[in-house]
Formats: sequence, structure tokens, C-alpha cells
Amino acid sequence: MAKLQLQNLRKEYNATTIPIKDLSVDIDDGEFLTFVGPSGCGKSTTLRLIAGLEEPTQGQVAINGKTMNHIPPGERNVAMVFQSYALYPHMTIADNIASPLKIRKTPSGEIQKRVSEVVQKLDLDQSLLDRKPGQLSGGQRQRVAVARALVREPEVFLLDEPLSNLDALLREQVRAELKQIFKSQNKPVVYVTHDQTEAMTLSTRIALLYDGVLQQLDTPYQIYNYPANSFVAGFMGSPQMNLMTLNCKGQQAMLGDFGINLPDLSEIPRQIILGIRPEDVRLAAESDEQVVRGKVILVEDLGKEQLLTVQIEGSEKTLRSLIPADQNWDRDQIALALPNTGLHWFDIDSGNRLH
Amino acid sequence: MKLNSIRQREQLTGWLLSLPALIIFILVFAYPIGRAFWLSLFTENLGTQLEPIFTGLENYARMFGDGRFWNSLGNTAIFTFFSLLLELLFGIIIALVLDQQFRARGIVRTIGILPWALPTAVMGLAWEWIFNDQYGVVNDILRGLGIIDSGITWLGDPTRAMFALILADVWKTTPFIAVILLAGLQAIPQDLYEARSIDGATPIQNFFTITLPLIAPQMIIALLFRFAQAFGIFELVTVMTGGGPAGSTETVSLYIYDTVMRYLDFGYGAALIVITFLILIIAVAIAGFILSKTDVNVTGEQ
Amino acid sequence: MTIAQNKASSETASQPQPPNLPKRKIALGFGIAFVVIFCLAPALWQVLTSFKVNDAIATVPNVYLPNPDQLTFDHYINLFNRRPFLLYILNSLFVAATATLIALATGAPAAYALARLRIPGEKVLVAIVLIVTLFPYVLLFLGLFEVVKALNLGNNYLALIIPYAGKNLPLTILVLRTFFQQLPKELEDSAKIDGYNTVQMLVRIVLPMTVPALVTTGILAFIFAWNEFIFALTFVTKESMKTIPVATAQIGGSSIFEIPYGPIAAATVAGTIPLVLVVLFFQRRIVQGLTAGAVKG
Repeated sequence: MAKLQLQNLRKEYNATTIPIKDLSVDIDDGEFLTFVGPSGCGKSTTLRLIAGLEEPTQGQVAINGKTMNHIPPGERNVAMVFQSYALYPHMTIADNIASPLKIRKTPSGEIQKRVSEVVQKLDLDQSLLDRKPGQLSGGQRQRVAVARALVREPEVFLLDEPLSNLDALLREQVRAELKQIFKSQNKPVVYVTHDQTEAMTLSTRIALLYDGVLQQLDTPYQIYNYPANSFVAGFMGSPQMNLMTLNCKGQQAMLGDFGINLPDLSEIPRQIILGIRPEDVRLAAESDEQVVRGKVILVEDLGKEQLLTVQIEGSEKTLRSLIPADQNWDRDQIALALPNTGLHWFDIDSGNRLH
Repeated sequence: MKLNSIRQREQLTGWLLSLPALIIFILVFAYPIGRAFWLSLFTENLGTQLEPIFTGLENYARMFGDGRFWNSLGNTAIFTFFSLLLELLFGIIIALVLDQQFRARGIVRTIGILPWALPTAVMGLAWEWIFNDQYGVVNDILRGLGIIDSGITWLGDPTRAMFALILADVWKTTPFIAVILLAGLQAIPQDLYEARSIDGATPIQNFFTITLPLIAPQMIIALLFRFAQAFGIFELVTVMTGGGPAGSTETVSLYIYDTVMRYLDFGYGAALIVITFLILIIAVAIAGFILSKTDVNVTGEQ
Repeated sequence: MTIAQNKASSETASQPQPPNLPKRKIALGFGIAFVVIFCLAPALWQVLTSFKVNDAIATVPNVYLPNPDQLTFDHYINLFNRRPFLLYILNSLFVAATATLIALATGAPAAYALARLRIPGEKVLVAIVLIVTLFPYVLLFLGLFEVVKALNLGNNYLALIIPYAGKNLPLTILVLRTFFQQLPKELEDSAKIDGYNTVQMLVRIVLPMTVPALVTTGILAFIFAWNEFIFALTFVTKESMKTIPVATAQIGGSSIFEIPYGPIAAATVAGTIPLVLVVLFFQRRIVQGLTAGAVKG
């Protein structure tokens, strides 16, 4: 049985505001599950439902098989790291870290032991312990917030965009640290972010939410390589996947003057959505079979690579291609190969993956 | 009792936390007002040997023929109207001054709110002395300016006594209006003025097209507060004129106080309280109505 | 003086300035002078009177710049020697401070409930609180008088403390509620998850963070309680228990023919000095409190 279970969760504030429609996820010990999605997709609400800060309208949250719906947050034994870190400004760092233990009347010897363990583990400077949060840097505060969560030794860890207030350089470093720290905890970790890189790098599984509905729940590899629908395909990956609505003609979908072979489908639709990641589109070589030609209308130099935007011959559609920085091409005209392995096909109506 | 949801428990805690305040509210506000409504239906005075006798709306009927009541209501209206008018005018001026950047602004702001913080009853004595017939400084200044030859009666003359009261009240409470308006001024985004200046508007045009409309909500709130206070004015009048001369400055609250405490006419006093209360509620309703309109305007303009 | 200063500074200013600035500065100078004179002159006249000998008080034309032999401390000395004036001050201090503490102790939890605990009918309650703020004392004194009589609380400070606390409750609740609503909500969420119950959270997290707001509302409540007149006049008649406003107002009543202006002036000054100090120290907070209560409420 999974450690943390969300069963048919639904949260309704009123008839039109329904941040979560029907969500079921099981999360095991040692799993790092990330809820990712655009803002307003319901990911933060999910976290608040698990924490008990909100109550579900329907469905249930269970920890260790026990329903938590009506248990107040303090009795669920979950720990949460907030985006703003939510350190108590009037308490010292030591008191901040110890506060969840103190309020539970933990013996003071035990408190001291656990606080010093955590401080050591997170490599927090001893001299910080007597300061107030206002005197700490953003990175230090973030670490204290994590310390306060760890010291609890909770059943479940919840992290609400804990990296978004750090500057870009620090973020990468802390991200790696977080991964290590939580790996050693062997508890379910639920992480919320809007940043797909965080989701990809940290998670054992990713739950992609959109409009209160779970779009796909899978490992980062699966999500990236086999997106379940066109929304997931467009959301994960940077630069964004090319997604084009094409007309079908026989066994081919027409991209401008060029036909792209359709996969094996029971029935050929009138229209279809083709997806291909820019990194899968490469400059055509002699041997390539599936080639499109077009005019380069924009070059974005990313240093390591260059991102070309190409207008396909016989069409208004553009295709973006990521090619190594040292590759050259003929002036405006360019031939691009679309290898079959890189193609993703989605249903025009439902957006679902087709093969 | 079984409380299932976290929310329900939270609400119960909310009520429990509010309970002490609620008890004080009932004791200090709800009971006295409710009691006044109830008592106003009885005659309870020296004539009934202070026993309450149910007389229905008789107290209210008595009010119609009570010249002293109408007189005091008129005095209160005059006092309130002129006080508010002058306070709004001076309040805007003071707020505009305090809104500027200048050295020693902190000190000037402190001076600016000082009158509001001082006890009205005590400062009433100061104003009584300022308007003293023989040695008052007002007469001395007027003599010095050659406006009058010899000291004139201020608090002993019906019109001038009212004038003195209004002036004292304006001094005392303009700072309150100024502070509220100042908050409104500070909330006006500076780029509005800059944009208008680029369009070629003069500061005076700016004042009428930007400043005044945008602080209208604060003006109404301040006026509402001041209306309630001015309408219930008591200590200033008690200390400075005692309602005299010959009732020419007697306000409703003075009349209520006398009715209850001097004539021990509790039923009638209660009826007077009820009427004052109702006037106040109507004022709140009007102000609330205007406020809801201006709010829309303000946001619409921004 | 202010005008001259401003003129000078505008002439020496190095930055290029729009041509209407000197005019503006002169206007501002007049404005500042107006504010200072308007607010201060009446009070200063009273201060001056309190230091003048009787002959310099009751004379025409008035003495604006008294000679040293026209000055005296007698009015103050008499105030504290012949009357229990220090006692009045202590009475006022006690009543105002107790009422303030009660208003804060009962108002803060209620304000928190109205700010955060999603009580049904919250809007209506806030509207009622707002309206009640407007009630003048005269509407309440009859009912309270009966309660005081019934409970035999005449000449008992409870008869002042409870009504003062009550009269200050609405403003306390409105101002504190505004402050509570401005606190970052994540802190309270974090406290809930840490295991604080609502009361613990209020006492250990929320109130320590809102000490400035508590001071602000406390000062306002203190000023109102110190200044109150009707209830103090009605419910306390024992000389030794009187508060400053009533005691001062009644100094003049002793003799019709010879109104003791000097002592009255001295009493006015002595009785208001505590408040002047409060204003001097807490000007910012008072402004903040008044606007938070009236504008945002």
C-alpha cells in the first residue's frame, strides 16, 4: 500500500472555481513526485489539500492508509517548505528550527539532539543559529526552512516552489543538494513547481496538471519522450516542441509541399497534430528520406546551439530546429530532416497521443 | 457535539476568540441602545415616581410639541454644518501642506495632530479663556487691529457663542480630517500629475481634476466620522457655554443629558436617544451609498 | 522665518527648476506657518497664562511677553498642593491604561477571528463594528447608567474601564484586523503544519509579529480613554476618584465671581502634558492607526 494516497480529489470553491477536478495519485516511500503545470493548474491547491490547509470537496487524502480529511494539519505529521520560507521573523534561527518540536512538547534534550543533527546535515553555520531570519541571505533562509521540515522527521514532505525565490546560479546548486537530502530521507516527497527543469531533474515521477486535471503521471523520461497528449508535449521541453495541425492526404500528412508518413492508424483522419522537438529536427543529409525545405526567417544564437525558425515551402507554417553552433547552411534556403523516431502524433480533437 | 471538518473547528475557535469582545459589545453598545428603544415606550419620570408606565409612542408625540427639543436639534444642525464645512476646508489645506516634502516635516506633522489628541473638555476651558469678555485674547487682538473699541461679549451672546464653539471644534478636530485626507493624498500615484503636467495642466487645474476627485472617498469617510462626533458634541459645549446663553447653544446631547440626569425623565430621554440614533443611522446609510458610488468612479478613472 | 528660509534655499538651489517653483515655495511657507500657528497658538496661550501672575493675567491690554516679575510657578504649586491633582493624573493613567489593555486583550482575538477564521457573516459583523465606531457617548450613557446603578458600580472604576474598553473595541478591532490581513498567510500556514493550534498561533506567532500594530491601537485607545468626559462625569462623583477632564473642568466651578484662570490654565497644561508626550513620541503611529481604522476599515 502506498504511503500517501490521493483518491478522486476534488476541490470546489464555487460553481466556477474548481482548481482540482478529479485527482488520484499514489506516492510511495522514497518517491520524489513533482506536480508541475502552468499557474492556476491546481498544483498548489493539491499540496494544501495534502497538508490539510484546505479540505477536499470530494475524495480523500490518506497517509499510511488512514484517511486524513478531517485531521488538522498539525496532527498529520507532514512537513512543508514554503515558497517564501515562512520563517517566524521574531524567533531566532534555532527557535525556528525547533518550533515544530517545541510545540509538540518534545523533551528538550531530544530537541537539542535533533536540531544539531539537522544543522550538521545541512551544513548550516553555527553562528547563524542565534540570528533572526531577517539577518540571513535568501539561500540561508531557504536552508533553514528545509531544516525546519527535516527536524520533524515527518511521514510526508511537501515542498511548494522552494527554489523560486533564489537567483538562477544558486538555484542549480540548491537543486542538487535538495535531491541528495531527500533521497536519504526515504519518505514520500511531494514537490510543486512551474519550472520544468526542476521537475525533470528532481523527480522520480512527474504529475503534469492542467486545469485541475491530471494530464500525465510518469517518469521524467516517459513524459519527455512519450508525452500523453499535445498539452504535455508542448509544456515539457525547451525550446518548445513544434506542434502543427496538418491535413492528411492518403498515408501522408501534408506539411506545405511535403508529405510526412503517417504512423499505423486504424483510420486515417482528415487532420492530425504533428509534434517534433526542435532538437530532433536536423539539417538534411543525402541519405535522409523525410526532408522538408524552407526559408530561414530567424536565427537565435544560444551559444552551444542555434535555434532556427524556418518557413516551410508552400505553407505559412514555421518549424523550429536546434542545430549545433558549428553547422552551416546555404543562405536562406535550407533542407531539414524529420526522422521518424522524433515524430509525435496527436488526435486533432482530443489531443491524445495516437500510437 | 461532533465537529467533523477542520473548517467547522476553526469557526468555533473564531467564535470563542470573539466571545469576550462580543460580551463587552453587548454590555456597552447593544444593551444601552436596545434599552433606550424599550424605555422610550414608557413614561418614567418624577411624575410616575420613577416607575415605568407603558405609554406607547407618547414620548415621541411629545417631541413634536417640544420647542426645546427642536431648538437643540437646530443648534446641533447649525453647529454640525458649519464645523464640518470649515474643517473640510482647513483639513484639505493642512493635508496639502503636510503632503509636501520639506525639512522638519515630522515636527510639523506632530504639531498638526496635537489638537486632536488633547482632551476636549480641558481644551474647552482654554477656549473659554480665549473668548473671555474682559481679558480674552480674541478681544485684545481685535482691539489691537482697531476692529472694536472695547471688549465684546462672546460666550454671552447667542450668535457669537455659537461661533466660538464652532471655532473651538474646528481647531480641535481639523487635524483628524487632515490625517485621513493625507492618507488619501499619499495614495494618489505621482505619475498622474506628471502626465497631466505634460499635457499642460496647471497645478490648480490638477487639484480640481485629479486631487479632489481621488480623495473624495476619504473626504466622505472623514465627514461621516466627524458628523457622528459633531452631532453628539457634549463636553465642549458643557465646558464653554453650558448650552447658554438662554439655550442658544444647547445641543441635542446636552438636552438628553439634562433630561435624564437633571429632570430624571428617563422615558423621554430614551426617546430622544432613539431619535438621535436613527438620525445617525440614516447618515451612515447616505454616506455608505455615496461611498459605494464614488468607489466605482475612482476605480473607473484609474 | 520659514518663508525666508525657503526663499533662500530656492535661490541657492543648483538644479534647474521650473519657473513657478519659488511661488510654490512661498505658498508652502505660508501653509506651514498657518498649520503651526493654527494648531499651536491656542495651546501656547494657555501655557503662557499658566505661568503669569494673576495681575498679568487679568489685565488689558494682554501681556504677551511678560517681564520676569510677572512670571510664577504658583499656579502649578497650588495645583498640586491644594488639590489632589497628582491623584487625578494617576486616576486617569490607571483607568486609561487598564481600559486600553482590556480593549487590546479582547479586541485582538476578535480581530484575528474576523481577519482569518472565515466566520460566517463576517462582512456583516465588520459593518456593524464600523457603524458602532460612530456612536457618540451620549447614546450609551442612559443604558450604562442603569447598569451601573443596578450593579452598584457607582464610584467604581469598573464603571469607567469597561465602557472605555468597549468604546475603543470597534476601532481596535478594525485597525488590528487590517494589520492581521496584511501578514503573509504562509507564516500561519506554516505554523498550522508545525502543529500550533489557533490560540497558540495567535499568542506565539501572530501577536509577536504585530507588536507595532498593538502599540498603535493601544495609543489611540489610551488617548480616547484619557479624554473621555460624559461617563467620567456621570459614573464617578467621589472627588478623590475623578479623572483629569472632569477634575479640570470643575476647577472653575468653585466661585462664580472670581474665575481662577491661572489655576485652570495650569491644570489644562498639567493634565495634557502626558498626552503631549504621547503625541511627540508616537506621531507616526497615531497617523498610521487613524488612517488604518478609518480608511481601510
